[in-house]
Amino acid sequence: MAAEKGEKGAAAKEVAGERMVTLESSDGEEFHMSEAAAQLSTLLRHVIEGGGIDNGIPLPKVAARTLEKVIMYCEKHAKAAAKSDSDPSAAAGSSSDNTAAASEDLEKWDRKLVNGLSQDALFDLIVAADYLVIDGLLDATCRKVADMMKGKTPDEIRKIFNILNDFTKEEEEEMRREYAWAFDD
Amino acid sequence: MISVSRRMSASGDPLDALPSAVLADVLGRVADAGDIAACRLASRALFSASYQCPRVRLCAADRARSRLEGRGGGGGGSPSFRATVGNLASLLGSHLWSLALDAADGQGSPDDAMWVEEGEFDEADDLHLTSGEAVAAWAATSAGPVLREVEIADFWPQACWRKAEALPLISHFCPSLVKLGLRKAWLSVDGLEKMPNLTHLTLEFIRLDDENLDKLNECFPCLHTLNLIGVGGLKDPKVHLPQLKTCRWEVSNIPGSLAVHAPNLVFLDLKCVRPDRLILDTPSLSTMKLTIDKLGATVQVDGLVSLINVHIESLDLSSLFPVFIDNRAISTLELELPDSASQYELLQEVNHPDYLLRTLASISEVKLAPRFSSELIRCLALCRDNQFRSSLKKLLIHIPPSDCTFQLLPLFQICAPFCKVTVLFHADSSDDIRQAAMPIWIESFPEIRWQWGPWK
Repeated sequence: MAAEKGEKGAAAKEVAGERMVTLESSDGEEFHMSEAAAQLSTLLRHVIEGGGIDNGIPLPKVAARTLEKVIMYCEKHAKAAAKSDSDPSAAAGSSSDNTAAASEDLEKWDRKLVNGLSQDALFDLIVAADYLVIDGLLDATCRKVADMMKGKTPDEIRKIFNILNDFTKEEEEEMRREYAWAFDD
Repeated sequence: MISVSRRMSASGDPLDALPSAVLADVLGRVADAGDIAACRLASRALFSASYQCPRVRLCAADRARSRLEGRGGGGGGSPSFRATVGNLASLLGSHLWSLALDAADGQGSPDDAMWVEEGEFDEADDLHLTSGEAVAAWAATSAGPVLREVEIADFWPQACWRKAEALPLISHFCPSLVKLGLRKAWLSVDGLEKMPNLTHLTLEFIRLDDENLDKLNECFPCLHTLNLIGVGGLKDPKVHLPQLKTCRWEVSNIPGSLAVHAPNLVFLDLKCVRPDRLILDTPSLSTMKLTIDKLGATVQVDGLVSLINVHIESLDLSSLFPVFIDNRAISTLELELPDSASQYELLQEVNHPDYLLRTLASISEVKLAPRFSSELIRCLALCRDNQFRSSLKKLLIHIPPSDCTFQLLPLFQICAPFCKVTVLFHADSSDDIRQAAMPIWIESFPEIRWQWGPWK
């Protein structure tokens, strides 16, 4: 189910037989998300289980543009999980190729999602995934940042992430000493 | 730990937007110690987070290469690799849960050591990572009790000629360990303590002083996954692990007998030569990959009641089929011949090619790997009987680059109605051959669902 933005008033509780939850972003926009997708977030799962979601769930730390991406991720993965559970051939030994292929497709989708983000949007998504405790999304986004750092010199890393080098000379010297002592040269 | 304040500059460090724990997670995914060091020098936020880095990998390959080339490893005054590892473990302490050390990269293999002449051993020990001293350097720090994953690939020229205490020391200092991998070393088991949390163990190119695996079975009783690849020093090894689910075992011809007693084992990949005795007491085993020269006189596999997927790489089919295929409910069979198999050896081995076809017809899904496919095609010309019930619903075959397509007809004749047949033509096959064969097959076997593709 695609996110439906901007509906005011009472949230639709069910759409096409699927239970929905309403989320409110930090900038006041309302989004709807299937309950199955919401279950991917440990935080949302606890809120849903605790009841009291009739008026929607406020997410003061997640802006609208980020929440849209979060919902895209969760709906995609919830659908994939439901498809895998309902596939009768999934239990058969010979369909392990199909399961591996489906998993690879999902990974490709995740990579496409994170690769299309600006640095700010990527960092916002990481913060949201951490806050909402969505392990798979945190994994995909952190992996992206780590890949950007691998094999790079300090100057290259500063350039990629637009970091100002404000270490003092003394700080740099001490750090390089610790570098040799603990991180090998 | 040195103090570097995480203050915001005018334009800021964008990484400040991320929680320290998340940055530590990111650094754990970077993992390589040299890369982490570069990250620390690049950003205050990364510098602060680095002290909580959960996963680190250190590679001594460059040092090892310099040693062998006589240039010597490490500059004057810089700590040895072993000391560096200890220092890093002390620095990260209880945040560190995964440590990988590699002194092996590109540094010869255990097979080379059999013919190493005097003078080619390395008597130094600076890169002997499985020695007691080297292990204690990191294991005896505050990281030891919290480590969950450890992998060490040792420097073979230094490790091959002396027994090391890595296993007993790790068992003593790292009780929380879940995953352990040791490569290219000679290991003692004296003083080995029980490790009830260990579920994954990989020993690769190891000389193990535990000839029947008694100590391994006793001290690692909760293993789910066991990989014994090129483990020497064994005599009559028995894997006896009640919770084992997956086992990969590659063994030389030295052990006279091989036994696996594992009631919960579902996957076994066994590569052996000619064991006199093979015992598989594995009632839950559903998938078996067997690479073997010859089955010995004594085989006990009565308990294989759950076996449904079998992959065999061997010429000894006349022994293997009666034991593992006939009268069993096998649903998937993959067949390949050893690299060393010469032309017509399969034909000599299988006295009655009809038996081969009859066996394939009794299986629901059959995959014929390249070498097997090529040799089977030679046998098909001698097949006479194809009038038997077929269960074959899925077939995959690799066609070699030659005009042998007409010889395949007896094979397609054993396919059950609506069988899905995948024919992979070698990339060097001529288009003419493909285009001539395909319409004939489609017309001759209208009930078969065809798929085509290349292979190389």
